[in-house]
Amino acid sequence: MINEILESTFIAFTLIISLYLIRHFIFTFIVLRNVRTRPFSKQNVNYEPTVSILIPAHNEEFVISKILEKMARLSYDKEKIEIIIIDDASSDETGNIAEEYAKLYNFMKVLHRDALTGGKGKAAALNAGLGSSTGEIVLCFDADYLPSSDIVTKIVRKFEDPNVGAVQGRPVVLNEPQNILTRLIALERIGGYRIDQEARDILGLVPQFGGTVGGFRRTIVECLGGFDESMLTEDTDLTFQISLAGYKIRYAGDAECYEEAVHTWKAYWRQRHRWAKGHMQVCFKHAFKVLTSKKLKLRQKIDGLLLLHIYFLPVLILLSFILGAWLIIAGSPIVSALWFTIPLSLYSFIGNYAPFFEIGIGAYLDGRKRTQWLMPFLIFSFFYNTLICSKAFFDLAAGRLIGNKQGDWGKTEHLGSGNRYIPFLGAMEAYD
Amino acid sequence: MIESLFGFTTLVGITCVAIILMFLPAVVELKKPQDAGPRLILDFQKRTLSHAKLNLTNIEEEFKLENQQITRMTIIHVMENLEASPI
Repeated sequence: MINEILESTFIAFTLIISLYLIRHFIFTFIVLRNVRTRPFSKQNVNYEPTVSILIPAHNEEFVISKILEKMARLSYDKEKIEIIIIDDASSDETGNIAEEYAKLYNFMKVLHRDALTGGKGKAAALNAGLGSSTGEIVLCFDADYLPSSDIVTKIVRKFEDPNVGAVQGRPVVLNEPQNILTRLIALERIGGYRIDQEARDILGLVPQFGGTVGGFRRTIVECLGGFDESMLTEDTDLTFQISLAGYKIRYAGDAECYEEAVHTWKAYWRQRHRWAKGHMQVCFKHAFKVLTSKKLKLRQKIDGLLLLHIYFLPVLILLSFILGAWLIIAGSPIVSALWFTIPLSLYSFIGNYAPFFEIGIGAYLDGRKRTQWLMPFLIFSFFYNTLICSKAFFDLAAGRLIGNKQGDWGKTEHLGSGNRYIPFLGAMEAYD
Repeated sequence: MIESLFGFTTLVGITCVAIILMFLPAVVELKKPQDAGPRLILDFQKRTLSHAKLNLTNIEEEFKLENQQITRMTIIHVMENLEASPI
């Protein structure tokens, strides 16, 4: 009896893992097929809505001046843009640096939040910024990002379709050469954005709004009540709120922006722990709504559910591996017949959410020559992520039991380590 | 027993070789990076190309001027020789 239950569980786990593998292969082939036939959308020069850019900043003195320099050089009409820096209870020079820029540029303003009202997480800071924004379209950038000068134009033009609720751009890791970790993160980003997000956009699924290098229509988010401050990943929560409200989410792959990736394994743990826990929170909140929604198409429901459960996948793979090994030792006839599922599981096991195929093709499409040689090292980051996701799951479960819904926000520290890799900033300044 | 031990040892050996072969290119790229990034994004690429194009235009202009100067000097040299030669 117990063996039958374990065998059924093993088969179910293997089918779910296979589903993710098939999804990644479909995504990769779809992007490859559309590389030459799918041009970036053309710009309608008559469509120039007012834009508010929110930059939440909590102790970002090492990086804030760089992004504000970039903001000052945006090619979008300055009469139609406002930049709101939300100094969220910073104890360093962030607020003072932002004020200096606000004095120089009349389209920049600083919203100061003190220790009493502020420091409650990014969602709360964004809600404060949203409250004082006036633009039709609201874009969000984290303080450590370096956008291209035409990024606003490229994101905003997708909103010409009134059914579009949010648009996501593409972050590129600036400090990629720093160490092995940053190089692995860059590979993950390539798979996630060059293939995953692009494919979801092509197939009319639900690209994820990442909370930075992207934006949304202000009226829609205000109607939805703003960002949910109880969520650790307010961006993922907003993605599904907007989709469930019947609006599209688009991906603008040409709207690129440099980001500073974490460069220590400890910081990586904290960041991914928050992402995993937050994503699981969103899954519990929205999974049933996605399943029963009348506004989502079937393929959007399937992909939406796969996306919501993605941080459970490493735990599932680990469990299926242990279960498979146990069933082999126990001499289970089912496992002997399904021996091919073991390599399938292993293939996904070493793929770190996306198979090597997805990341490799993404790197090839980006014109990279040798960075994909590092892919075998993703095995180690996958093992690490399995521990992170398992811990996140138990922390979330324990938190729910004791009534603590959110937990610590765990902000990622930015020390400006990406600044030394700004490749042609000197040449750019000569031509501005 | 000896046969199964031999089989097991062979399997372990092949696995180790496979793992080494799998990681070898990764270690090479790590030790001697040829593609460490960061990837140039479009905005930076355009400005780099503009810079390169401007330099190229300048070089072409200089080349034209030099050619013109050489032609003038040749004409002057020939003329001087013609003037100097007894007819």
